[in-house]
Amino acid sequence: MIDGFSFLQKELIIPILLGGLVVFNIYVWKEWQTKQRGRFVVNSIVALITILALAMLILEPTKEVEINDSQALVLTDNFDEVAKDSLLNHYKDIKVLDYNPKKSIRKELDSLTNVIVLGDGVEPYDFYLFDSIPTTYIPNAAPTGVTRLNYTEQLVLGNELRVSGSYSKPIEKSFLVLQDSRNNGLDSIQFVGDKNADFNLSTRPKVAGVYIYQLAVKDSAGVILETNPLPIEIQKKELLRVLILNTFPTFETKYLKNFLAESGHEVIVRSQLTKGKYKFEYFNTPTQPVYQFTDAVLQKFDIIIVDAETYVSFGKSAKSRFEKSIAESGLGLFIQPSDFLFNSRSSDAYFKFKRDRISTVPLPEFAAETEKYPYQFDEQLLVEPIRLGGSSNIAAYRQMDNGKIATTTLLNSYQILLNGKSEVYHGIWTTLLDKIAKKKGQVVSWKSNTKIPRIDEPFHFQVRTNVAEFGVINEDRISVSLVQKPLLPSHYSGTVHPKETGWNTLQVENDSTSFSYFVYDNIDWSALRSTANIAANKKKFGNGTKKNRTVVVDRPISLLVFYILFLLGIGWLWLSPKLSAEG
Amino acid sequence: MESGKLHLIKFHKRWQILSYAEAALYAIGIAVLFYLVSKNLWLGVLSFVVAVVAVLFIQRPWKHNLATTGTYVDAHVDEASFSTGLLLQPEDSLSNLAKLQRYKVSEELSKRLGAIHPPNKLKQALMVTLGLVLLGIVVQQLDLFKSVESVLENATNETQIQFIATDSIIEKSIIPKISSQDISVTYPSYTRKGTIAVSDPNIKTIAGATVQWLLVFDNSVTEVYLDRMGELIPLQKGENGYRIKQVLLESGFYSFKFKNEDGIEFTSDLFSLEAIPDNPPEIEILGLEQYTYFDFSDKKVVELQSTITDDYGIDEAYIIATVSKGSGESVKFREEKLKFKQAITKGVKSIRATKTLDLNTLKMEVGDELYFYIEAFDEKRPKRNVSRSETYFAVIKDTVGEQYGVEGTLGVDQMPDYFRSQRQLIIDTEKLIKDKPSITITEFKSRSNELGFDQKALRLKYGQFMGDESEMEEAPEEIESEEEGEDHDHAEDQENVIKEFMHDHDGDNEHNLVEKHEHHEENDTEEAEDPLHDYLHNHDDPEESTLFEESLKTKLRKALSIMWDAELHLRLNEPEKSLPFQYEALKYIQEIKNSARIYVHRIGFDPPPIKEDSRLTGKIKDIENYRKNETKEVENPFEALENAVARLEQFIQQESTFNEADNALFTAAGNELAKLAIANPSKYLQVLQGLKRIENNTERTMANYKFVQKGLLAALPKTAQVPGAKKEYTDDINSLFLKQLEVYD
Repeated sequence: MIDGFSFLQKELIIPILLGGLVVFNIYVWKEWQTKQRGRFVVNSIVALITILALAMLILEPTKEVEINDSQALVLTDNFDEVAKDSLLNHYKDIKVLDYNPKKSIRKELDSLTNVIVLGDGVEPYDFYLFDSIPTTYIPNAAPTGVTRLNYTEQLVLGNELRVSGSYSKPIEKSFLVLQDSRNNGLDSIQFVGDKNADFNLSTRPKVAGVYIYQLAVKDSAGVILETNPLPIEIQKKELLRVLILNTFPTFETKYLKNFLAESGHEVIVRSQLTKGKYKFEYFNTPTQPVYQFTDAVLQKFDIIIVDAETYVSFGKSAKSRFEKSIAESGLGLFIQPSDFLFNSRSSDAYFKFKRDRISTVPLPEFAAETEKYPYQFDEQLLVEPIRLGGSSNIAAYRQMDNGKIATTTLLNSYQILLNGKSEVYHGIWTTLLDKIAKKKGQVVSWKSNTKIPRIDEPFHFQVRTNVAEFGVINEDRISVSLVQKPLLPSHYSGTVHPKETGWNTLQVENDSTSFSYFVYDNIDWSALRSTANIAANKKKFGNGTKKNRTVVVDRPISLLVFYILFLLGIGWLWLSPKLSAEG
Repeated sequence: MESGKLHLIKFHKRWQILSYAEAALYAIGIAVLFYLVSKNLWLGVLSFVVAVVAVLFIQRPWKHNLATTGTYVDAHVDEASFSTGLLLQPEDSLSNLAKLQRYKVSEELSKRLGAIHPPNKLKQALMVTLGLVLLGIVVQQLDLFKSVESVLENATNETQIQFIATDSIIEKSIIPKISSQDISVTYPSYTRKGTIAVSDPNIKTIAGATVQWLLVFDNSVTEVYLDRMGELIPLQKGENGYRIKQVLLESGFYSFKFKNEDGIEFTSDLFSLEAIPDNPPEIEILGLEQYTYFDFSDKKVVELQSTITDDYGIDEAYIIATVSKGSGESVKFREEKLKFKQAITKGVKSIRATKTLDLNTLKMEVGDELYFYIEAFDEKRPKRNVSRSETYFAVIKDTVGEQYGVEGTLGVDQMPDYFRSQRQLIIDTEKLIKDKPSITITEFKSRSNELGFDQKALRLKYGQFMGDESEMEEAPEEIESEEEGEDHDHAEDQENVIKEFMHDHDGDNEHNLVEKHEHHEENDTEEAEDPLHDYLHNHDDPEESTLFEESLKTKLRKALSIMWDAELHLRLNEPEKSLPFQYEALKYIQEIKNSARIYVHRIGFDPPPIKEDSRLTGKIKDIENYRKNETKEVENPFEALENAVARLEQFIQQESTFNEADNALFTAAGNELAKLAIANPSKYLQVLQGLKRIENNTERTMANYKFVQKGLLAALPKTAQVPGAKKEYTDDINSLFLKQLEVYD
């Protein structure tokens, strides 16, 4: 208000003033009627003062005051009682505030000149509250439990689910067990010693779908001490369309095509019999001979497997069509190796090799050994190795825009199959072909930016799409507002506040594409959350000394003056008629 | 006796009876309480007996005797003047004053004893009893122990086959129940176990056992079937119920199905049938090294100790001992079946069998080896299980060894050339004729004789193909007699020794033909016993030899006789005359060889004839493109299981509820799991039962969904590695980045 004056009961100002005015008018009217003219003016002034004093008593006027010594201790989760007590001892007048992310403490904070945060720290989304207040953070020690966690949240059936992280202060001899959604143990490690332990667990899920795996801690007797959910989504792989081109039939192709055909893929094999004559084999697909490699033909396939001779013998135009298809539509090309490939010194070869004179290679992950050509891949930009069974220099791919070209130095891999190790053979070819297979298009890509979403807390997500008119709705079919990035119009971000634990879905408006995210219980992953909070608070509030800020506060003015005024006024008004009567 | 004492005794009796009555009252109270709580009469009776005994032991009414009674009376009847004891003492031992007092007391007691009562707590006992009875009634009314009871009830009912209607609408109609079920397992006769009645419908028994179910229903039912892995077998209706017999050969599952009068189908839970195979006997050889070596001078005895055990009984066990003699190509084996020292009673489950193997009695010599193992049979029908122990070796060390060797430095193979071919013979003979003028008569004769011998050796060699033994007998001996005359005796001895224990029909016959007659006798007896004789090819008999077909045989026979003539003339030192025979023999041998070649030719590859004019011309105008189209079914034997797991997850997350389409899915999943479960019924039975309950809508609960899903997840095998495409969003900015990478490559 004027000159730093204000009232505590601001909302009552108008009714009180109006009421006062009415009372005053009545008084004036009454005084007029009684015709005590002599004291009319005096009485009226006294009445005005009295009524004003009464109004002030009710409105409680305040005055702005500058202060710079108001401190508060904000207690967050898992704060240390001892630290709290010693702080209270040290700072006599310190206020104690209990931090609860669900309740705002903004008001309390406004009048403070400096704040000490104790415990796990405030939630990062509440940092803005402390933006203008010098804040000191006294961090907690690292909590017990999983303090770092990475795992494959989305995978395709057949791939490995990997869970890695670190566990702080484990109980000696206890176990960390990766369990499926129904608590069947899948992988585990035992903690030795009570130091921080890094862990790496993995399993291959058996069924596609959306499941909540568990990461449990069990003591040495198998009693579950703690479990935390690991929500994962397992998708099925899509079938491939494969074209195999050979200058002559080989065993390698024969077994590869059988493997692919028996897995349900559409396979067309063209092997040359003699000049201009071919043997066509069609598996799981109608007859459609492939002679010319037009864009339309190449477009149909996800992977093309050719032997080196065939590919080199292609004319320039055929080759450029291949390359165009690879670069633009993401076709995968696999070149079956032969001495021809290793010896060609042409400058436009995709891969460079050097002789290493080693003709066998161990595959430690499969506990097997296999034959290879005595060459290895030379280092090249854009050529990335493909790890096969723990060996990294026997296969590589070259990125060509959206597509990939791959080859291997493995020789007669079908012999692995003939030796009865079909799992190894399938493993090798699955890895190779998975790497280069054309990706099936997806309209929308979702990404969660909040690691552990919880009820009523903000969940940030990111969406990428090329769809023009694009909107997202939540489960209640209410539109979620999205922020589009100005420079990257296909990138959006948004925030929702989930209301239920478990799976929540976001959906593209007028489309079936949806995104499921898992909302955790408050007790889940508490150590992980604490660790993240501590780190974020440390970063936010730093360590440097902070100057107390000056805060302007409205202090209530003592009401005693108004009270005395009121009493005197009332007293006069009571006394005045009597005096005039005597007089 | 005076009336006082009589009254005292009466009083004492009364007291005792009251004590017993008190005990009985307490016991009745306790018994009633137990009966009311347990609703079991026998438990009531038992608790009554126990309570009576317990209360009696606490009160010990038999401990009251007249003396204690007297003391009591003294204490309670003033008139007794503490002299009741006098009544109990014989009158004669008392003083006069005592007698007087005794009389007085006696008089008083007669009057007064009727008025006092022995101390008793009958009222208290009655109250307690009533209290207990009331408590029992209250408990019974309130059913406080209902849960306990139901547990007990269930325990008795667990083995009872329960039926559930497959359609849940008909709750109101009568559900026929099994009033009695009789499951009996008849073991195969050889196990000597007879028939055993079992109560648990999950049957686990030896393969080959016969299981019989006898089900009696309390209401009339129709179409009672046993569903054994999808195969419906009707139960026979008998006088007192439905009966079925099944032979248990392999593990599986079964359930019962029937319809009640309204035609509503009921099905029972799934139960397992587990066939445990009869294990073959186990043989353990105790304290024997696998290899035992003896020096020639040692006492060559092997003490064989073994234990043979079988789960149902041993039928037969013996030792198979094989003696091998010689080395290299001339090694010979002789096999003998030896009985144990102990006779083996058929059907015994465990036996300790011993045998002393004396290598001398086995006629083993230096360098010979004995291999032996134990073979044991059990009594399983129709085919006995057989098991054999590891093979043990006993060797008599041979310190002197002889070996033919080719000197490394010599470039020429000095090994004797035993057989010359017919062609070689002809060349040699012609050479001899040519050399005749230039050599001495003795040399000529000697060379001619040698050729004659070679001719004979050749003849004998061909004779072998005819299975012609008799013709060959002396051949090697002659070689020896000519080349190593001194060793002859020794060699013959050795052979004789061998012959004595030879009855190896298929062995090399070169050496043991001297004593042919003896062996024939032996053979005759054996053959007489051998009923299979007529059905076998016996290659020992030249007449039955099937090495060659008939025409070949005659040719060979001719060649052999011509060889005879050729040899004859060579022995007579007339090589010129021998030569034509030799040529003729050569011709026959060539023919025989050729006919053999034709035989090989016949089974070979017959290439299609190619026209001469189209061969190697390089024209490909007739070559066509080749097309092959094939659709391969992707067989995923666990597809339904996988889908069921995913579907169950939806139920558990409460995203969906059971609908009609799920029925087919869960039925298929059940079938797939059953295939897995056959090998191990007990492991998967509960999961399978749970799956069935979901399917027929008897237990569609969250707990069951979770349980079944857990079981299915555990049962599913590893995921096969199959390549495939992933779904991915292609981001403009990423594509742009990749393109730029290419540019700067």
